[in-house]
Amino acid sequence: MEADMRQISRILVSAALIAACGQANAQFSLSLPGFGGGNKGPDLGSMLSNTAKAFKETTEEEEILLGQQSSTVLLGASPLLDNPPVQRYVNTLGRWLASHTERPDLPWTFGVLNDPGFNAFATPGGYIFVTSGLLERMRTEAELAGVLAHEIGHVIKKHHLAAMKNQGLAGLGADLISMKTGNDMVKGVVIDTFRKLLVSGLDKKDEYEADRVGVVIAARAGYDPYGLPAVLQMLHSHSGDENAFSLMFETHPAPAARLEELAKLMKGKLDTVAGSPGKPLAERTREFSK
Amino acid sequence: MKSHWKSLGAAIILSCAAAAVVAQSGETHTATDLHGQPQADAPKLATLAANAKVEVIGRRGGWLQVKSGTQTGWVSLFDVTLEKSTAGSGSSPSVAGRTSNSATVTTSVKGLSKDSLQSASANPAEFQKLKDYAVSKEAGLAFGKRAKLASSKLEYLAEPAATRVESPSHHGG
Repeated sequence: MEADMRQISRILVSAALIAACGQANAQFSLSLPGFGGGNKGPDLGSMLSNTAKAFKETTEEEEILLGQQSSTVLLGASPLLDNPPVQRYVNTLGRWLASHTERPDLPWTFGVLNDPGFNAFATPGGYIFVTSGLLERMRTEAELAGVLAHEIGHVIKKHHLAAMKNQGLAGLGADLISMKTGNDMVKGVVIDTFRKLLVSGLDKKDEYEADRVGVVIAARAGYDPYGLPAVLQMLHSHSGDENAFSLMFETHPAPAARLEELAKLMKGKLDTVAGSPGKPLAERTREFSK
Repeated sequence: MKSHWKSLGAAIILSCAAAAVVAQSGETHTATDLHGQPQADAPKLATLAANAKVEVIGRRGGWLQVKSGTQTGWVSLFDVTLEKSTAGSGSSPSVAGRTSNSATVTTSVKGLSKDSLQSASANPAEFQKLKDYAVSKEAGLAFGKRAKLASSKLEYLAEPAATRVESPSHHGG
């Protein structure tokens, strides 16, 4: 009974925080780290800052649960492509890539959405999606590896998690966001927050970072690191006026700007890395049909 | 369903063949050297001016094999802009098919949009299917070995020192 009451009060507090002062709360926690910055030795400011940080730190379990809830939204907008060999292949390729990161043991899961548009999505905790429209436009496996590695970059750098926390989704508690035990109201808030994020897109600097991280992950996994730049070059020959590309263009920096950023880093560095272009998708599909 | 994927597979094979055989038009957006081989220290055949028309024949790593006038050679991928695609989204090979939870045939070429995402409701049943397709870390490692992909240790690339001056339209996001 007492536990029930605590649960209810926690829900109410969380909901109130989210509804009333999510934004203010986020700003407050952002301003805290600088509070005791200039002082030497222990002071109240830095102690407060550390306490607030520890309290707000999202556990990996919570991160994964947030990703699961977020994924249900994407799958609500578009179901999976009904093709088990392709789903198994993309999962296996993704898992190979993810094992070349500092977070190899997340529950990495990759899904191909049955959607003719050109897009890819990441959610916290390692749930990653590409559309079938993107898959069919990949000219080499290295290009697909580059796209998946970009999304993996978002996950390991916790870009979506940070954006969701900035909207007040921090320290909710795993029990409240779990698929099984979660509270419907809290889950609703999580879903709504992710939905908004899908539409607004991430900060441009997060996209540039995911590009930088992605090309290295692809290279580490033995692929030609120029798969992602080649995809961006192809994207640059399309425009946001085309239906299949409009959402991608609305939520990402222009492909030319992304290429320009990568050129600064890759020319003369990853330039010399020889990687595999991989195998054609049709061949992989046969391989995974067995 | 199988035949559906076959057609997707066929479309991909065709598009790969097309990329190798039919050249794609583009132009240099800066002056760039045309090399005899896809590497920076390979002999220079010519210097192409900015806005020079090229036909892209293929790619190896960061190098595009191009035809420029009577010459064929390699230029940096970063120095070429491909000609705007005249093919609308409607002309792409269709992957329309049965969705996994209904017999609905997708006919629209319009992909996920802000509207469709904004009005999406959670689909936990489909999430269960997603989880069922997941594979183990070991399966991933076995694939890399089978595919003879060579792992290497590379540091992440640091953010460029001189940060690009953002145009106002790039603000926010």
